[in-house]
Amino acid sequence: MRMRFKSDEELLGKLSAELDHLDMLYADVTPPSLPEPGASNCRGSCPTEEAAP
Amino acid sequence: MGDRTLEIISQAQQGDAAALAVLLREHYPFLYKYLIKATLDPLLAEEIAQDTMVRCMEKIGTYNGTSAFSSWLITIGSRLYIDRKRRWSREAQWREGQMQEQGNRSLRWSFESRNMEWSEVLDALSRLSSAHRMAVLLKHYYGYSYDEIGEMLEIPSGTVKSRVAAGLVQLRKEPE
Repeated sequence: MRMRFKSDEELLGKLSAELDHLDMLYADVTPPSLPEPGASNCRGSCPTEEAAP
Repeated sequence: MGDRTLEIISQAQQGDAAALAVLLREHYPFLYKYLIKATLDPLLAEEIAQDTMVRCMEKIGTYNGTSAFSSWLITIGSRLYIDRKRRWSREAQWREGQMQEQGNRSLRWSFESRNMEWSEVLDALSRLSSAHRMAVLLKHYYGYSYDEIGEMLEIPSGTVKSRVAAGLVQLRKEPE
């Protein structure tokens, strides 16, 4: 198996930099209008109650 | 977490709708950016962020301050994402694959339209399963411990550890 990074540290450095770029892409994201409680925006299927910690 | 945030949370828990709105508005960008990284699908991230906000509005009274408010939101968002993936898997495997592919293409286009490189690492990240991607992200980008991630995702910390390790191997592997 060929590896493209010499170490996990090298990979993680690159990954963090790329994810920072991704954040920059959405730096000016603004929240939508708040939905009413009980409303759901789910695509195809709806979340269950289990999601609340 | 600052005193101001604690004060706003307390007001929101006492039924102050304006305080709740401020709390959600201020944390939305953090939540959305986490979900973008977890899903690599802007549309899906937006939908789950909205569902997370709804869940947060319903459950704000149960937030007990043992973790940062942002961690609480990440936990709700992650569980909603996992729940969504499970439901999709039950409905149809092919549909899940198609939607993920569509989401990735959309994100890739956003990068390239701004003359930013869609790197091999992001490409490899998009090919990880959502379970492995979330484990790697939460551990190595957000800095949570294996135990904390286990609690967030409701899995044993040993499972988190093995998902992180397997995810890193996949990310380092040269494409065939």
